[in-house]
Amino acid sequence: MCGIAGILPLGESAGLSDVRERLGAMVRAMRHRGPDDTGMYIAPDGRGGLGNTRLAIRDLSPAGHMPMASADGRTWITYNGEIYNAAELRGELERLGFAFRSTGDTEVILNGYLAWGVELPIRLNGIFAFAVWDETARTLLLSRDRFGVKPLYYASAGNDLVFASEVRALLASGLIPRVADRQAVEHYLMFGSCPSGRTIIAGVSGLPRASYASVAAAADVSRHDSADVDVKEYWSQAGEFAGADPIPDSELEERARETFKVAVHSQMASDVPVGLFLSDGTDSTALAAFMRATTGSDIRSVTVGFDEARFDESDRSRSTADRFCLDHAERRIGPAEVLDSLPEVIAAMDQPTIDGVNTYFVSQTAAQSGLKVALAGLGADELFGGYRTFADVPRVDRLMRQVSALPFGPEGGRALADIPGVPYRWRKLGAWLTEGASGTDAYAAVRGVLSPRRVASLLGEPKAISASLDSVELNGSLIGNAAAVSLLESSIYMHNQLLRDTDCMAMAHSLEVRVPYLDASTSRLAVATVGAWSQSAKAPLKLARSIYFPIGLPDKPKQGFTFPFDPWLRGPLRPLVQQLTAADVVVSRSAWVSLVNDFDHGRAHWSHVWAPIVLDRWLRENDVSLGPRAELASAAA
Amino acid sequence: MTESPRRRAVDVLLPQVGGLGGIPQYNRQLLKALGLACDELDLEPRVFSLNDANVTGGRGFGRDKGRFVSAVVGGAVARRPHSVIIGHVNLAPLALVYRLLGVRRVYLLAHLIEIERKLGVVSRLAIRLCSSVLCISDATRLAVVTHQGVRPERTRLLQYAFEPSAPRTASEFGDLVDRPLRLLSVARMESSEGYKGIDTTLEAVALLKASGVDLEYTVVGDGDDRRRLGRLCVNLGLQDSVRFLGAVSYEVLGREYGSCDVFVLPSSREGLGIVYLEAMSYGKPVVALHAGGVADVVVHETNGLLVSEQTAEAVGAAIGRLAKDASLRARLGERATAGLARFSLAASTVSLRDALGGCAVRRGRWRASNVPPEHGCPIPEVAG
Repeated sequence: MCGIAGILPLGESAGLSDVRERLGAMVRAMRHRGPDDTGMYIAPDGRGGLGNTRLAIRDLSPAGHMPMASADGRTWITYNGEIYNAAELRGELERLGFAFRSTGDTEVILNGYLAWGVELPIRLNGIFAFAVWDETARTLLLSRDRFGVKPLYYASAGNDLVFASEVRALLASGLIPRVADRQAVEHYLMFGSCPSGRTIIAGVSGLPRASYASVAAAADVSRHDSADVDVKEYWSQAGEFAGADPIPDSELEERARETFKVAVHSQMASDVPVGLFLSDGTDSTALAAFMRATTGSDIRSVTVGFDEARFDESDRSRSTADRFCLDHAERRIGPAEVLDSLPEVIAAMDQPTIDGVNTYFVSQTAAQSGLKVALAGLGADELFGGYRTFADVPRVDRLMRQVSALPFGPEGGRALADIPGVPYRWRKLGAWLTEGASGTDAYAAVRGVLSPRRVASLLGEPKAISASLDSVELNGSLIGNAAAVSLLESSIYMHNQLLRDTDCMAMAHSLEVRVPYLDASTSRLAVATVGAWSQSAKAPLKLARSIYFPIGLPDKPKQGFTFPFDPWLRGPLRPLVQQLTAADVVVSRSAWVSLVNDFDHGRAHWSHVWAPIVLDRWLRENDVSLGPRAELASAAA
Repeated sequence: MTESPRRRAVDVLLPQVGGLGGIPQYNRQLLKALGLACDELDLEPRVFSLNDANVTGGRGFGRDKGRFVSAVVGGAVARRPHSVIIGHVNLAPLALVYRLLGVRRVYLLAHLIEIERKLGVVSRLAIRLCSSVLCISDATRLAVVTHQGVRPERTRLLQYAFEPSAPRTASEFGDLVDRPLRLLSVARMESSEGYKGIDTTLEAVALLKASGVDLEYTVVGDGDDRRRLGRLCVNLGLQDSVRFLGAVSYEVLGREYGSCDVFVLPSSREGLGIVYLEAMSYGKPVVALHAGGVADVVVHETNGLLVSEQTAEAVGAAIGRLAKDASLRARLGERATAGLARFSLAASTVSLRDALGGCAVRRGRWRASNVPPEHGCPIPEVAG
């Protein structure tokens, strides 16, 4: 895995005089993503260039160096990711007359671009973000994988387009003002992560998943407006659901098992050892089984455990590792270690997030045990209906629509949120009730962290803020459908939080994390088996894994891989709460004190308190100012 | 074993320790592990065996139930034990006596076959009076919970303490260029144990031979069903490819394990399946049925191949896959040996030590609709 960066002159003006220095700073800011090699390509006119910092996983030879040029030297690529069907595509390209100088997948993408142009991304099965600069056509092609596993951000800066794998690399270019996007901050506090289109930094956009952007260098763009980049979607999860061909029940177990095994096998392709993030859950234990079923090689598994028995899965993880003859590494994490490491954890975050601490430590453990690649069970819950949200969202949607239709319904619901003694879940629903509830409102109410009203008070906003989930175009009438919840979970929670956190936390330790449940084949299996998993959570996966496990008591109720933050924030991590109270806080002091009071009395979830702590620390760490409120900014303008 | 006045006793009530069969074998290994666990806990095992005439380090009662019961009760009254392990569900009513005497740590050892039907009222009451049910496999735990209404947290897996019984011989691996694939089954051939799947394996061998796979099949074991299986063999035209060796010495058994390529036993009702462990100790891949407690031992595509149905087609497909792929046989065989660590004497000793060293657990009934989140975890240490 790697970090990519680039600067492209958009106008006909002279462009930057110091492209090399700025690109160098961007690449250096991402050195943790690829400590094995770095490289830069500066265009002959000196006005633009590409950069790369490389984690060598396949083709460890110098032939894999990036940026890489085509045989005629006129097309260049910088690329981050893994293509699992690279061998197949290489064969096709060879038949078309392309010759290869390296054994890795970078050259496959480069020649694939030359052969198929913008038709290339849909042919790729893998996790990727790449930029191809075509010197002849003077165009830049940016693209990202289907589920957005690998990140890619861009911004217009004067007459230049800058892009990189990390938002902080864009800041390192010196071309982007260090000012936070206020709407992104609101979104972060409401949902625990920044939205997919915007980022925490004003003017910086994320390239949407499953899309490409073709940018012409000749375009005359001089505004700070990233909308000038023409983004096109090449694949749609909703479209895949629409065209699904259901698998008969009689064939489900066999076909599901074969699909998972093939996906895992293809994602184990590597020139370095491949490990596994192992917990006690269905997803990672199934991966252990599929990995062992497809290879005789040594497999290293890693897990983290806690002294808090309710959160600890280390005994069961060890038992799974023994069962599948894995070389198991285990680490116990306590609050003191989290407190000591918090500056490094914050430093590893590309954008603020309420999650990711767990991935930071498990990635660190994997890297310390010598791994450069690990598989993770991420994605199975979103694609195969594993979360409780698959039952809760349709229920809440119905409830919200009924309450919204009542006279004073939303007001009554919101009043519920203020009545002491009302159970937390009901108060949360009340706080999220809106006028004229739409499909995504129910999802927001279920997945939301801090309510819009609480966020407004924390940020000192004089009026209510919108809780819109702008990244999803979803017909509200679909919300009762399991497919629609899958779409929401994968495009919001998984994309904005889980995948982003996994990428930056693993990359902080120079570790590549692969996600077989998001393979193109498993994604097709998910849409073809929606009937099965909408009736019984993760039915295809559970059926496929059953033969590898003893016949015994039913699985434990889903716990999730989470740190014991609730008890820790009441005890050993309390200094973090006190420090924020004492500091010159980015959020309203009175609102913060009220929030902490609610947490102390069991009226607020630990994540409500954690979110402002992380925001404050992240802004300070990256020297980013919060920025004016929207109306103040417009007044000033 | 000599009783020491300074050490508290652990009463162990067993149906049988000597002789053939899985349960006596399990009991022999249990006593070994128990001896080690008791040493660590400063306890003294007091062994009572109903069916044996003599037991080393304990008392045998030669099937005399009256004498057995009076010795057990008398011993408990004379010197109240620290804890009790009841080694068979038929002896479970004695749990009532121990509870009346105020013994809080009363454990029942459950084997799948005896526990997978609903027991009588007295036995069920006795089981609920036990502080914990020690199960030989996950399938046994499931049966205890579903058929006897015991709460999952009151069950505990007691891993079998495996030690190879047959002497080692060099194992053979090869690419089968100049010889047929050698299959082996080891089982008692009693008509009451027709679930072992020898007949299915014979049919699978016939299917494979018809499709051109070169095989030899050896069956070790004896019983009243052997004649029927012999006739089936003739009917299938396999006389030249199948050998029925009957009961053999451990030395011969060891040679057979060592010289086979694949161990096959698609049994549908194994509580655990010690023969699989024996075969694995020789580095042999196993073909078995995904039923009962077999999957506790045989891990699909790790140390063997499991099939979902006890049919000739399914078993034949698994054998055929191994016949074609020498690297798969070698890979599974290698992991077979590595997987034995889970069934070591040390692991079993730790399980027993943890069980005996823990406190009694509250009684209660489990409902399938209300599985507590901690099920499957070690028993919570609740003072009883």
